[in-house]
Amino acid sequence: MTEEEMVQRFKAYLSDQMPDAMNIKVDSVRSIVGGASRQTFSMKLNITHRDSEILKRVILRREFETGIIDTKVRTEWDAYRAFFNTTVPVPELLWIEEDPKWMGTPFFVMEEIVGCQDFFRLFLEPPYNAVREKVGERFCEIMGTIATTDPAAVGLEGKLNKPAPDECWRRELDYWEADINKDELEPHPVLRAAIRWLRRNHPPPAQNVGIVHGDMRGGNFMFTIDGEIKAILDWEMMHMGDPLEDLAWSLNRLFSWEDHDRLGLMLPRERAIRIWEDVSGFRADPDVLLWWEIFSSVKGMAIWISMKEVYAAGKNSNTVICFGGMFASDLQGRILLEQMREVS
Amino acid sequence: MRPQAAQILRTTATTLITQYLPGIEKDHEETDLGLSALLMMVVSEEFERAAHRRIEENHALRRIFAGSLSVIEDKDLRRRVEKASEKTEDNYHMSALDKLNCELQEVLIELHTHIEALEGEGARNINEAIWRELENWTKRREFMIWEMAFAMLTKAATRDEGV
Repeated sequence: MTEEEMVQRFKAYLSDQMPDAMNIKVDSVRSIVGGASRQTFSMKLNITHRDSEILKRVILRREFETGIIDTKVRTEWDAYRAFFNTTVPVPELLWIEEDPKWMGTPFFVMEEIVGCQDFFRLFLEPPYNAVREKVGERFCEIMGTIATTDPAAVGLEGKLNKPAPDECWRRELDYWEADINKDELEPHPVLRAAIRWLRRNHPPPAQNVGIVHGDMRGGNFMFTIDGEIKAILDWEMMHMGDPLEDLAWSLNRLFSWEDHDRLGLMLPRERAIRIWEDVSGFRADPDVLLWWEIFSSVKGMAIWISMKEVYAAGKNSNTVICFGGMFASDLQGRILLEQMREVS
Repeated sequence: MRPQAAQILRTTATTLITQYLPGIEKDHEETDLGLSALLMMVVSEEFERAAHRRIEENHALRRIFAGSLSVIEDKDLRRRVEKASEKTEDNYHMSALDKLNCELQEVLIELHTHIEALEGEGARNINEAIWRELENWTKRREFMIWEMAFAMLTKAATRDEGV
């Protein structure tokens, strides 16, 4: 969907939602590049409604017609609503619409967090390298907090399927292996060897079954030049599972390509793990964490393979999708090989 | 073909990046064009090596297959591996080379799965030979262009903020 088409459709939606609105203006629109799961637009709203003026920058996220990852905007919406006004910072929600008549696919709108950055490679250079450890510490604290949040206390009870502790690893591995089986364009002998290894060496039952963000990594949070984290984003893969899943994903070497020993190019690995352990109260057993880190590479490969598949099949001709899939699968493949040589 | 295809792709990509990219104002259009140019460079890299890496890999896989026949315990698998070890390139079009390469890789996955379940030095040696080949497998598919992509994306992010 083009920016122009989105604006027209969104204005029509707002008019329907706010029949009393006198004036609905949508401008300063720009597409946000890079998302594999949603088409994302940033824009400025200016609405006169019942003698008050709504003036704010917002983010609209709509599902792709052909999703790379099978996720619903409702999952994201539930996550943001659950954590709003808690110690896990998230943006304020505005509207959700699951009827495709408005935008072609379901979408939701939230406030835009302004004055921040999300590109984690900025931690390699001034001025952000000066605050990267501060950001990293806060990131690990937040990740530990998410892991210990009681779903019932934040309104998520009944909204997420809760596996038994000994089913967490299998459910995730089955899901992503099926995804690979469905989308693989060519054989991947290293990836297949890794999946077999994961099944032969599966971890013990999860020490707790809790909320897993599902994509907790650099690039999915907003940080300031002062080293504060203003929002945790991209909750579309939220689910219940083993808390080590998020920790391992955040340690994925793909997100710290230039410095594998630093979580997300921010914090030395061991310190990051210690903070997560202190805040969550859970233990990151090295062998179990290793299992989840190899799983993270498999999950990553599954996503990058799906990106290539939707492009190759003509379902999504976005250059970012093609480039991202090729780029990430090359690097993730190298990481996975390295990991497998360490264990086999 | 002269100039060669890889050179045309590299030159066109460089022109897009140096002459046209700086004039684009919309973020997503700039990213789209920049990544399109980088993809042309990726294709240029692949164009040069595409036939070589498949033929080289097919040879390597056939050597592993031939060397593993005495260790394989499953008769059906042994027959398939033997058959695969005898397959040769008789059509050098990229689609044909790719098809054969994929067929051999599927056999490799089957063989690897079988070997992993076996005890003994022979199986361990084949397993190690497969892993050494998987190192080459990964190396053959690496692209060199990503560093340029990293730099371009970082530049775009800092420019957004005016840092």
